[in-house]
Amino acid sequence: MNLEGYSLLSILKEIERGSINAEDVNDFYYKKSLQLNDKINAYITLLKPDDKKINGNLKGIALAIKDNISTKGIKTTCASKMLESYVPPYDATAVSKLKEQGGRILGKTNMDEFAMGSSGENSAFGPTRNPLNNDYVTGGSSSGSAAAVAANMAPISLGSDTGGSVRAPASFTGIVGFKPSYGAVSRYGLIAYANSLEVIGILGKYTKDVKFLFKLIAGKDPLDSTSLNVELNEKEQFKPKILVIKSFVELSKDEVKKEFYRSISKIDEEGFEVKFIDSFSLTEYLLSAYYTIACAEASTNLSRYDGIRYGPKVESTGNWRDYITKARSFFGPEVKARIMMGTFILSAGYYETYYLRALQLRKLIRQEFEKIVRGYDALYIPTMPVLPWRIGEAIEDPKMAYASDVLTVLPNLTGSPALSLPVGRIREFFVGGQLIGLRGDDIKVLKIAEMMEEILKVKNDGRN
Amino acid sequence: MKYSINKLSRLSMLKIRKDEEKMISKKVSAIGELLEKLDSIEPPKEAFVLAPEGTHERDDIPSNFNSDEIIKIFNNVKDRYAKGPKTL
Repeated sequence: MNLEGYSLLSILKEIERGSINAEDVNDFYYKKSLQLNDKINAYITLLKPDDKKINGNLKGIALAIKDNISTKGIKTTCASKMLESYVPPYDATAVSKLKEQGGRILGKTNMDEFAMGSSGENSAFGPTRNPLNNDYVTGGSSSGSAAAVAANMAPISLGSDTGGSVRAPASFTGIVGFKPSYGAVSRYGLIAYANSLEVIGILGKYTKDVKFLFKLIAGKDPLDSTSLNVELNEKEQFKPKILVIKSFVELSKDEVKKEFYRSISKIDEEGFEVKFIDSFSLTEYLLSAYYTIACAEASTNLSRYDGIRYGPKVESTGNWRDYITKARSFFGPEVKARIMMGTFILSAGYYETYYLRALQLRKLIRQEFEKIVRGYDALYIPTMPVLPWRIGEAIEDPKMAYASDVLTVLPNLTGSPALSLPVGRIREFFVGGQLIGLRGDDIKVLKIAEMMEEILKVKNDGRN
Repeated sequence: MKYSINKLSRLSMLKIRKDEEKMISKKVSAIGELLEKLDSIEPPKEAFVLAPEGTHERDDIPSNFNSDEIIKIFNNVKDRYAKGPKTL
């Protein structure tokens, strides 16, 4: 059986018709993963699916889960030496919901350590390689979740998005990546990096698959007080009103811009109402606000990895300070850099200068975004300003990697839903276009993406 | 230097190995450059709270929550904090 290019929904339909069964489907993805994982490094942990019959919407299909989402009885490492042997005693709410709906776990995917990074290179278990060209990065931090879907090693996957971590790898591998509104999917069981920014997201080959899975995991959860119910009913067919901010597009490389503008012409021809405005006044502060808040929250959240509460026990003859310092040596360089800057930002004298200013900026960014986008169905901009870079380049030039987040951090600062879909092709790579809606408009964003997919017909079905 | 690696590593209880020192220095100075942009902004009067708005009203706020009482208790104990950020 060859399921390359199949959508999750068509697989489920075939199972219902009785032409295939879940065991064969799981066996296909498992064997493909065994065959390709040495090359792609998409999985940290791969599990052989059992063949017990399961009912429910997912009919026993096995999915890939990012390794920072807790899975009961299965190692959850966050791609860090710090949690190399950590086995959670409970499932994240999103995982419990998938299991209740007849889902299985195929494996835990590689990622940037503790979800810090946009290339997929900062993993203690080695970089994930882009299935489109193995010498290039996959994008991160949900690098393994994207690579697994793009290389037909999983039908669909869960990732997490703090500043573009689902959308960036989706763009670099030519698939669909969806970051729901903040709170639309429970964060219970998602190992915390920056609580006020992050959300569990979905990566798939087709928007209809992503929408289907989103409806299964969305909703208010008593275990996460920040969760909420968003509208899940769909409107009838409508003519989307799209806003394009030119200054965002201008931040992109010429070849990306060209493909992006070409996609606008096509949707415009098909009846989308597209309006352009020149700029977003706070563009130059997006990355400053994002990195200040993310580093501050990281330094607080990661203080629990002290070798006492979490992390490996170490031998130490010194005082408690020596013990903790030794225990925290298991973090990788990216994590150490962000904790150090977060500690600095929150220290006396700098808290007001940096942290409070970043919070105030966040408020202004949200106000401006809502003012501009209200009256439209979504904002449309490129996902990444550049194409994937060669593995190792960002390690030499971290500024380049941080700057590449400039188009993806906005929805995390505003709590909005955002989706990246392939809208153009350059050589072996794809250009991702990003739809951003107002908070709570998740289904509307997914619906517009489906319509665009139909019009643009740019797909990575994994048969490149 | 404002972002001295030695000082920051001591402050955050992190040991930096010789082989990662150069890499971490580069990352710290790249984030430092982003922070510098905030220097030019007016200090805030109030902090941002990501509260659900409009159609997303919260329905889980305890009905017997008395914020005045909490603030009264806080005022009685706030002088015990030797140092730290001013959050109220």
